[in-house]
Amino acid sequence: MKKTESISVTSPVAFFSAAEMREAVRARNRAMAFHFYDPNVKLIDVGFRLKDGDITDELTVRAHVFKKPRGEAFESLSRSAPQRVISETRIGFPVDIVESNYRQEFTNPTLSLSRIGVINPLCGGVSISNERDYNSGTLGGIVEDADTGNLMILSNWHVLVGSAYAPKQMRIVQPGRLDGGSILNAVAVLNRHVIDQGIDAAVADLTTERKAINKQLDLGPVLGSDAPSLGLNVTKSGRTTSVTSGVVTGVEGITKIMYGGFPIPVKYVAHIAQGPSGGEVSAGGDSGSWWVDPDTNFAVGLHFAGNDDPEYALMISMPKVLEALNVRIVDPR
Amino acid sequence: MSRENIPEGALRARDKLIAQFFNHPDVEMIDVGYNLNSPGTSQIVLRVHTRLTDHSKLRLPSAVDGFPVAVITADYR
Repeated sequence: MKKTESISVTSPVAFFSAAEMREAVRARNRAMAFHFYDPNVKLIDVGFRLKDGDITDELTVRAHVFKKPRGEAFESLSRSAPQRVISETRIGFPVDIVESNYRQEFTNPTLSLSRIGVINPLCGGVSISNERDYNSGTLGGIVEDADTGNLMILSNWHVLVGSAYAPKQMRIVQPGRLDGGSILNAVAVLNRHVIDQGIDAAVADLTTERKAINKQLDLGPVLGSDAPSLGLNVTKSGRTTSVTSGVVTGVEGITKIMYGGFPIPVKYVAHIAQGPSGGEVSAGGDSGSWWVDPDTNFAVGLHFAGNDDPEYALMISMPKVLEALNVRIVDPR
Repeated sequence: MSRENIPEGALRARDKLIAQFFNHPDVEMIDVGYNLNSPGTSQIVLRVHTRLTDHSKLRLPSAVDGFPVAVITADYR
């Protein structure tokens, strides 16, 4: 197994027999038993030895550590805590120590802080999530309860709720958890949803001292709602793709979307494709955005799904959403 | 394209298509709209959206109640 020549990243991967891999995996298991809970160890795997930046074709058990002790530091560790030294002798297999600092990538560095930061006043187009799920969708907009007049956030069911087992009055955080939000950033509590009516929508009561306004970030206020119609040009402000546009090519659709492994029917669906200028229509994280008629500033749909290549987006007719939830769009004045 | 209303009878035809094909595991959506396979035209058709690239597997009718059936390949998430 041991060879001295290094291979470049682009050269074919060396082949190991099944017996060699089994032996390596057994050695990895021994390494995990001894070292996985060492606070300096982040990952233990089986792979090629990395030497001076090159990938060799030697099969090793690799321990990925935050800090690789060298020289005197290694000598000191060997004396004071020999059980923490990850050695070939102890594991019974060649060992490689890889220094690295893996971090979960909560934020996309290309996303604007104006959408994924802590936003005040709250408005449509910014990052949001429920307190349980590690994701982020879009705060669609501010509405008011038709009976009580209480201010609420409107977004998708799969953003604000996400599960049949979600607790009542679950907290909603802004920014969403994927963008670093936590219960310290709670802005609302879940009130109701209408997924059982085939509408992927929910509302949450505002509980924050932050102000909330009728405004779509970079688009302006929403002046009312209308049903989408064929050929209508639409635009939206979303957490991931910011302001995008498209054209309605289909209406009165019914679809089924997989949520949590189960197909859930969604009704009153309108289909959006790229407009003449092309470009991205939507992406993950835009869920909950409001599609708006740019000529009237009327909200025509609630974004909930999309397709890449070709670029399509799906929205639910906004009047149907508002009626089902018994809410209305807040007067922008 | 200018805004258009749905022709009379299209929703009834769509419902017939839904009754027969919506529960097919490879059918993602059924709606009424433009035929995206003929860009630039304003022909309004019944549309079945599927992740399948071989549409023949669905065995869709060519038309329902006089409304042509078109297939759109997509995988919505």
